[in-house]
Amino acid sequence: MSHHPSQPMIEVEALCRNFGEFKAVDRLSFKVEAGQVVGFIGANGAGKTTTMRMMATLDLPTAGNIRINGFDTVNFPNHVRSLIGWMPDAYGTYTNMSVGEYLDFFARAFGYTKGERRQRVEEVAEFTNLTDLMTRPMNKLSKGMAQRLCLGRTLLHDPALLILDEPAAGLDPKARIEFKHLVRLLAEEGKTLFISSHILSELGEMCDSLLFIDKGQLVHHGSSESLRVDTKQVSRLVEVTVIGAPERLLQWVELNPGVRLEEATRAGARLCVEDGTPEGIAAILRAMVRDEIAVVDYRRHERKLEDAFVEILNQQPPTLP
Amino acid sequence: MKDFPDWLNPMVVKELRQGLNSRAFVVILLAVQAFLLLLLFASFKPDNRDGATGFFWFVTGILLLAAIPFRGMMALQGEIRDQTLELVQLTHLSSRDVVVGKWLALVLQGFLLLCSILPYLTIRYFLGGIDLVTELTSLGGIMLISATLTALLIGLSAHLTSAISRLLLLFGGIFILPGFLGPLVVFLFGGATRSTLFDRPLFLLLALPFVILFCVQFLELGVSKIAPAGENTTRRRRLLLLAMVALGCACALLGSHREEWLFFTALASAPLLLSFLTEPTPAIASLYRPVPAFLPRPLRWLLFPGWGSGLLLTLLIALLLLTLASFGGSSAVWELKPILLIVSGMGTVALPLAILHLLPRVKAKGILFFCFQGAMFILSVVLYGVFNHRNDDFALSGLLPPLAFYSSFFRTPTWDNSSGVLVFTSISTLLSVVLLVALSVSSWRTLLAMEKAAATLPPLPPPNTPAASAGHVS
Repeated sequence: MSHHPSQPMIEVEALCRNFGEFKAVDRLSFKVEAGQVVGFIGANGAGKTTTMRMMATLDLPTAGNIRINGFDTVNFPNHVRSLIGWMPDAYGTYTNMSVGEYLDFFARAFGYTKGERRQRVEEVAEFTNLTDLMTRPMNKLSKGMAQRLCLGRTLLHDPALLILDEPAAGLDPKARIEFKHLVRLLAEEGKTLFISSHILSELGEMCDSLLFIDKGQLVHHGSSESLRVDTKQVSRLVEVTVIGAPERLLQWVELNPGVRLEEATRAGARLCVEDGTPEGIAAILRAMVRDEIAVVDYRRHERKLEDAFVEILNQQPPTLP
Repeated sequence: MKDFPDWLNPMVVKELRQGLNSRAFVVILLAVQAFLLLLLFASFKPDNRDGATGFFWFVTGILLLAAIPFRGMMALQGEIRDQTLELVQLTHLSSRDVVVGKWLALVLQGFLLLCSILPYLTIRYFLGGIDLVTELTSLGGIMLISATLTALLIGLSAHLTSAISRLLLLFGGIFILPGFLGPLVVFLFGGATRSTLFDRPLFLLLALPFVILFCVQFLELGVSKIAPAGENTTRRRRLLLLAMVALGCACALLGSHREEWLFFTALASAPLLLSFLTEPTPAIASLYRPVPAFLPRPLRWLLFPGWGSGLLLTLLIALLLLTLASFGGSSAVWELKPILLIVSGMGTVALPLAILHLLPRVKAKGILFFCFQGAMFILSVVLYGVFNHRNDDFALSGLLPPLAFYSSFFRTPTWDNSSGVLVFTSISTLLSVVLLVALSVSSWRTLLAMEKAAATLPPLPPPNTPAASAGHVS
């Protein structure tokens, strides 16, 4: 089923999910436009998987609603299912079944017939780099291969929205890079990706925006750039690397009123520029070069996403018992 | 890769691939061949033929009536446990495709085993001493029972999430199924109606669909467990039940065993009605769309989910069966035993249900219902089977209608020895029904509110066109 471009791809409204007395998701609301890559971040037990399962029609909200491309997940589950591709954090494998048979089964289940099915399986296998593994039993795959297979299955019906729950968890660095590459290709295809992960730096690179969730509530929704650049302090910090000993740089800093030393480093210094605007920061570099400081690297210090995440969590008021 | 035709249910393809790739299947197939080969050699000696025939049917029975159906017991739970079902559910396969596919794959595997047995049957025929038509008919009958049992276990086991409840089903099945299915099969295909079957093709036309509907009902019970909450599986199950009841009534009117047919219809409907009487009333508006639109509103209520409408349906079916049993049947229906059976039977269902609905937090109502019935059965076995008491010794036991109901299987109640029990059972049954009706008000409130909300829902979008709209990842 093709999607309606006029509708937001995901619309979550006052979503609640209780397990007995425990509120796993608590009045969560957000919107995701079509074609966006969104990172969904939260500590363990924050309610990420519960939210994603409700988006995938696998669980029912206690209150509130979710619309995928305008279709309510509770009242129109079958329509929602044809729009989404769900990749869980853990999925079971079938015994006595090869990778090719697995993809063939799901291609059949998605309604592809003979020639079309074979072509689609081949396309997906090629895209996810599984072509050489088609005859291998699926329970004999490494974690990275299994994740690629799961992504391949998710892509078979070419869904408009991909919901990926911790797709990079447990992958080695090489598999992680491969996976990131696949996500980038999918984003270029114009698909909407909703990805949860603990590896925040990677999400920052891949995602257009980030959603932070804590105790089932949304605590931040914005781009990774807006998180990296802290308007209060960090945006005024500049890291400078020079050739040779940094003493000359340190003396220069003492003589210039628009800048002060934050921290000396082995090959330079971290400086705080009073005028944190791009023009102000560029003016300091011009002055250094004019005064013959041998600058080889000059960049604005960016806050790590992990720090931003922790800071946002610390800003949250404690919940009453 | 072994290729299967496109028209075959993908679930069947998957199951067959897995089954045929598995070492266990190959080992069983080879072991059966080796065993039958030995039997064949043994039956060359005329003295051994009877023993060999006995072993032949023993092996066939074990394979088709035990191994295949009991694999069905884990069919859905295995997928749920291994976290593979959810991914299948998100495809374009409906919940019905999944359940029917599982069932069909098991039946086909049974059929494959049956086919591997057939050459030995033919050789035995040439050795002499067997009636080929009778043996083939028997094999067909066993295959039919195997398919029915498999459907039953797939449907029931989907609802039994714990190993203990599945053990209870197994234990209960060993005792209850032969007692229930045995007479049903004999009644339908042998014994009393054998002449009817061959004399009246119309009767055969009605009886076979009755058994098929019974199978489908249980598969639908499995479907209801795995279907998304926004899918109205109740409507289909209730329509199927109504069709089965209609067929049962038609058989009762056209056949010569009216009371038996009505009894079997009630018995076959009981598990399904129980599922309706214990199901929650979901507050999901899309489930209450006015479908089919041509039906008058009160009739559409019967197809809405929730135990309130289930109670109404149950009362209507009970009324229909009782009316048919009362008028035009034999005069035997006015004797105490059938009256006590009917009244206490209704109470046997109504009393525990009323108690369970008084406890809204209890979730596994169906299982608790059966546990209650099991306890009552054991108590009646002790009181009336072991100690052989007169019913009137315990007239007050009529306040527990299940005791009166189950005791009827151990003794013949008459107006002399059981009238007191009948009075107390009638009072208890009436009170239970009144209580149930009163408790169902909240279910009806939800139903009517949701029916109103459904009228404001947008119309259903056009059906999915799988693959057709899909683009391609380049």
